[in-house]
Amino acid sequence: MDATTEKLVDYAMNVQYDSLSASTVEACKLRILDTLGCVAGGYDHPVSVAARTLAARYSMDQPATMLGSRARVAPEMAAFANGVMLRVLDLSDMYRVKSGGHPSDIIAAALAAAELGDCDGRSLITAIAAGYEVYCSCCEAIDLNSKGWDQPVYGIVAAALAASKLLDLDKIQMAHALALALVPNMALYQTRQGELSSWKGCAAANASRNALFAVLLAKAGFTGADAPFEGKSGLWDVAGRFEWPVQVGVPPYRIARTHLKCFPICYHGQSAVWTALEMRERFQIEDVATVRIYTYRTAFNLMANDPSRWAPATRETADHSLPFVVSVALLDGAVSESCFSQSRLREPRLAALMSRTSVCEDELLSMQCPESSPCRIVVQLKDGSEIINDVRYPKGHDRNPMSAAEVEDKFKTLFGSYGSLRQAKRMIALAGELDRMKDIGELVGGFARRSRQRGAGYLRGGHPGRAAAGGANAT
Amino acid sequence: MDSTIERIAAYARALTFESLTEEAVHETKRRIIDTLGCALGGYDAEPCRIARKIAGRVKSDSGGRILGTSHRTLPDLAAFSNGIMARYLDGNDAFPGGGGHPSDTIAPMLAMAEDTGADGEGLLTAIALAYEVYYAFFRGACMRDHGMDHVLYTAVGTAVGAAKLLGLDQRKLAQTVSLAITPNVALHATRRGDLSMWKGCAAGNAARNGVFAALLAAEGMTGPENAINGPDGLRELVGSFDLGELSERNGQFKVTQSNLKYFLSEYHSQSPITAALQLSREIQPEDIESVTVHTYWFAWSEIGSEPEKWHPTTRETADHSLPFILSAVLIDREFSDAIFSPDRIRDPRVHALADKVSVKEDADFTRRFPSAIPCRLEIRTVRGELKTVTIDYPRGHVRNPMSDDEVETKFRALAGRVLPAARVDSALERLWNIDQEHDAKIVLDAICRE
Repeated sequence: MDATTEKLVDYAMNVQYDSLSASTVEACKLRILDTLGCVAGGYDHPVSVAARTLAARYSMDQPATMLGSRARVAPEMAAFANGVMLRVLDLSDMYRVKSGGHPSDIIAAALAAAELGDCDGRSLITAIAAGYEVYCSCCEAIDLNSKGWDQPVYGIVAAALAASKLLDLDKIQMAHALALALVPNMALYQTRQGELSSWKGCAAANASRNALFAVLLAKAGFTGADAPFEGKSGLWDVAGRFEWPVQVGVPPYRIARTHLKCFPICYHGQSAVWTALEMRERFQIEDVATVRIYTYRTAFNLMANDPSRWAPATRETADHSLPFVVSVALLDGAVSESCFSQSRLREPRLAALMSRTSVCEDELLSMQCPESSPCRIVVQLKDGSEIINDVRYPKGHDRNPMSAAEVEDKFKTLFGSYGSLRQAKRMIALAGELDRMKDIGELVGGFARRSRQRGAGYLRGGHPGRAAAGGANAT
Repeated sequence: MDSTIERIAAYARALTFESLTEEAVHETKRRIIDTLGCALGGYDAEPCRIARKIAGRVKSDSGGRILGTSHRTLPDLAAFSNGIMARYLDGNDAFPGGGGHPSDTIAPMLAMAEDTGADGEGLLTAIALAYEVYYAFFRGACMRDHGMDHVLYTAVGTAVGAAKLLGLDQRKLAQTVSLAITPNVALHATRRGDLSMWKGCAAGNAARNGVFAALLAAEGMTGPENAINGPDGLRELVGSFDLGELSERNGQFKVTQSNLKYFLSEYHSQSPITAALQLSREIQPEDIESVTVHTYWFAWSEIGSEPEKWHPTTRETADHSLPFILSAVLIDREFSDAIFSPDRIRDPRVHALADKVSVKEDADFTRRFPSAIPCRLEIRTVRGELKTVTIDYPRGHVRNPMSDDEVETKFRALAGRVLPAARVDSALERLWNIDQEHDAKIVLDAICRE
């Protein structure tokens, strides 16, 4: 066992519910609710349907639940299907310092493990808070993305620890689980380059699947590589040496710092959309000559570094395109799921506005990142005049947090395409009681879809950004 | 889509049984027999039992059987358990020089053939295809040189063969390749230091994920557009990637080119074992003063350099240790994989002799590897005599092939550990005629223990 393995395992084993602060518990419950909202909103997405179809084949005796259904399948496949659904809309939370990603991805593995282990709500909260800490601290320590490695590489470590904790692995088993998770699952960053595919939203779900599989292997007696981080041909050899900065004995706190999203797009487009929405009342769209978007390096690299971002052919590319999301915001006054339909992607008005949109990296803005997520948009009108707007902290950023009520509004809006308002309210109540829940099955069961009928809302034009904006205006 | 991936997809789509040479068909059958023998021989090993338990959690009306049983599970899980059984004894074929074990793709093809109701010709075609893609990736880049593991070849070869059996169109075949590469790069840490069970299981796991990639593509999942040639794709990761040749009609299919193992031991120990067996006829173990193995760099690095190799504590380290294996062979005057049993791993006589073994790289041998597998064994006796023997191509190498009879003998010995003799005979009969079968699941029927 190498020192990094030992530290991570000791860390995870050491975290107890009683050591969590009240704000950590609250932040965790809110993120679970936010994530379930993403599942509801993404439930009918074709990629979600495909993932459930595949997972439904794996029925078994000791199963976990595919959220929304009552189908009980192999836990690793429940983690896969749930992981796809929670991420497919790209509305889940986000964290980026040196590397970035979506720590809520680990909830898929944790939930399936909690069900398999008959865990209570407190165990789930504790495991998720510990998993977030492992995920986020790695993002702070090293830029694995620039070395060509994608989120699953650290996500799988966090997910495996969270699941190991829920399934009561001992120290040695947990160390093996980590090795069995990390060593075979080195995922390429290609997933986030060029024209994007459905894998963009599924890579992390696959990591949850393989994290849980590794944990089950370790629990059954499998042994993995002895020194997966620091040994020869371990992670350090292919990615550079780094200390994983968790501290044994320090209770997890980073979960309260992840950023929640208002719009179903890449996190680095959130502030750009807010900037556009705030300024669009100040001119007529027909009068626009050019739109110049100034942004920071990460946002530029993910959302404007490729010609495909000016003519996105897929939903995945469009939601990672600054020209696209800003044009939609300026034209529609909203960015919601409906703007990603194939007919919208081909709409001449959008194409025309994108062709007049340019994006450049502003070094000053890059220096402000990751502390803030800044954007400036300069709209030049045909008469030569310029309108300028800036946003530094989009709603949901940890410096401009969404209140519990705003997260609940986002949840209700997302749930609108999935179930009744009554059920949405019931789920909000269940998530709020999570720290008193005896059996996690109650949460999962409460989420089961009651009928095939779609509710009102999200797909028909309502969007969580509006809900959050409304909340923001009211304060 | 990536032009390299397009090339693989077009090749996979076009390959038919008719385009395989007679030699390729026969060699594929030999490798199926050889691999199934290994799987049955390893049946009772601890990791194999655990793997069957994990795969057996799921019961399915479709999918593939867990090898040796009548339990049907989903094809990726069957690929996992059966792939681990096939590999665990380390007796299956090899592409020396970092190419791993291409027959790791056979167990997943059996599972997919059963899942899709393929016939014997379909199964043979899928296996030949999997070998072809496996080898092309190995030629494309030696992952080992970059700190990564050969099981990526297993994942991709398996995925393409599985997609072929699923009848996927060219577009979905391409998605399969992308979905097999992107998440399945593995660290070579698996084969470093004191070895764990994972050494023999990483390939079964890659086969599981290879099958999963094909199942995802079949459901319509799309993978990254440029998984090989694009930014942060495979080529950038390893510096250069030039897909090897893919054999066409009448070509020399790669399934004919892998080396079988005569001994159930790591490939680079095959020549040294052969040499030790020859010398052991002339030397008493207690007369040995010192043993020097001259070998090529790769063998030195893989099984003769790390200190753990002199006093292994796990089966996995022992079967990847020249000092241990040679000492046991010189004491026993025969080779049997019983030397890897827990008792023998602790045998003080073996450990004492291992202390007298040194392993040295010979620069000339390094130059000749991997086209030859050279080894020179020198044993000095306490009376000062020096005995030397040199081996270039161990039995089973393509330049010194095992006969069909020897393939059968190996199968009988291994399969006989779990199947009655009559069953072994009838299994061989069916396996040699697999191309005549309408239903490829006959392969798993033939070796079912129930």
